[in-house]
Amino acid sequence: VEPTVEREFTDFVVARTHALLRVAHALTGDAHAAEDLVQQALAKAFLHWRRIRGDAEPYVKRIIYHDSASRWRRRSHRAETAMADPPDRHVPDSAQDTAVRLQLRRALLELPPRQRAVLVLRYLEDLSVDETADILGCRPGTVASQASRALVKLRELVPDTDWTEARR
Amino acid sequence: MSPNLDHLIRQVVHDMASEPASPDAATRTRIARAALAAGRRRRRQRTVTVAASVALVTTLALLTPYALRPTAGPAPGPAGPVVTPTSPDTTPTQEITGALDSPIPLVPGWVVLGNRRVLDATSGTYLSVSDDLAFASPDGRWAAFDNPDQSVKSIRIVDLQSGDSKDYTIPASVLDPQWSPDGSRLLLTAIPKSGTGIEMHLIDPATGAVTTQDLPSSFRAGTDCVYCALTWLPNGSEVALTLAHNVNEGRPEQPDGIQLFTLDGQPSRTLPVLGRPGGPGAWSPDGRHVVVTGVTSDGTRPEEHLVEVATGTVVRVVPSTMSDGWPSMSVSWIDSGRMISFEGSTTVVATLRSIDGTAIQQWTLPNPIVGPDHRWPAPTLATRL
Repeated sequence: VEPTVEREFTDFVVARTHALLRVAHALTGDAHAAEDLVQQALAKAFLHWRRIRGDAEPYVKRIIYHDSASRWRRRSHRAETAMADPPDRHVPDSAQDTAVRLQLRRALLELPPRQRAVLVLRYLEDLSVDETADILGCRPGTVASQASRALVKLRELVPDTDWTEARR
Repeated sequence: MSPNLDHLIRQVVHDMASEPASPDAATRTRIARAALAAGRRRRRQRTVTVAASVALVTTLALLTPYALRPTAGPAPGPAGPVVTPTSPDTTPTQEITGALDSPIPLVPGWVVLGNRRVLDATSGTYLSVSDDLAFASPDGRWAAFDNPDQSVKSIRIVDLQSGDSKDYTIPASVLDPQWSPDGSRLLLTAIPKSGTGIEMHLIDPATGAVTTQDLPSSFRAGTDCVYCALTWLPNGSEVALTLAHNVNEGRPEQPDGIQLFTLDGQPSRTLPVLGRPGGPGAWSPDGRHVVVTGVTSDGTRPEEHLVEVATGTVVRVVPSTMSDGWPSMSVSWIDSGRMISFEGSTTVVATLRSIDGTAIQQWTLPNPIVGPDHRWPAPTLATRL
């Protein structure tokens, strides 16, 4: 039985690594940290593979978000490292846009992990407040307040910009 | 036109998610293997841990992270643990219940130390902590907290007497921390992300000193050992590395022997023992025997063995509860003829056994607080205080 379980697990990881890394990278902004986050989540998922094997990806993603939000130590120095090699996969609308986006990226990575996880769930996964609360294991009101605080913080961290209203 | 924050956050978050290129096949396989190895390790730890955490205690309040305090005052009724004989059968069995505001006694001089709940030797009460991973020093002086989800490993050590704490950062992946037998130093085995070298880190929390030793390059993680965590010997001056190899994914690691090192990282002795000792408590005080996790004679399953150190002869199989395919047991020798084993999953039984395997006395320990699935605390052991 055990070899079959391990083979299934390995097949899943090989097939879905990229999807998991995407989420983890959005949460961490750092390739190494993302891989660590994914690997730890997979290791935890392996313990329950027999139970989750039919629907493993949501389970692993849930662990990734939960672990990311539960980190007790912020790693702002890693965010600084990430900025040394900014992404450039999208054609910028303008130089100003690019500068603002880089500022915003840095600001996102300076948010407390739970606030960042809320924003990634809301903006990357397009989850509702209730769905986000379910993933993070908290009340919907907490999600709303964390999102609100995050937006306030982002405005503080990206000053001198005349933001129009955000709706999250 | 003013930028729209909603729109920009969405763009930036999607940008960040799209940064990792699709990993090639080799990378995917590497991640799968690493996750599998880490999962197996967690499973091994978990089986031991569940057994151990049962020892401690449902009545203790959770504290804020890293804050420690004595538990609430004694519950109504008799102070301290209540020990009730439950079995008139061949092996006397007692159930321990009640307010655990004093050390859980086993044989004279030996108590349950705890882990997520830590026995404060000074006050004699169990202190409760809220972190996932807590490693208590055997003298009850220190508690180390480990966060396995950080790529830059950070260990926090709390002085249980003063409440002071200090963080230590290890720039590598760290395997199980383990306290020296006298509780004065914390041993960390680190595997740098690039390469297969094995590093030994020793933290002296009293002075804050950290020493790092590279094991000789002839010892390579993944080649000479499968799970390469170093463990203390009872002498406190040597550590053990279990040499082992994998035969295939479905089988447990196949042990090849034990290599000992002095604390300056130099090889000192090799032992013909085929299995993994859990720590200093696994070695008999006279040095003649050790309890290890080995494999069955056909190599298909892990099994607990009592082994003669000098010859590597398996004296006998140590009965052990199996959980998820792994022995669910930890052992502490109390003298050269007797040992205490903790085993079980939902209910943990501490058993005092003679070296011939006879069960002398058993204790059913209090039900655990079983944490969420991800929790992975470390073993609780009986200790001499």
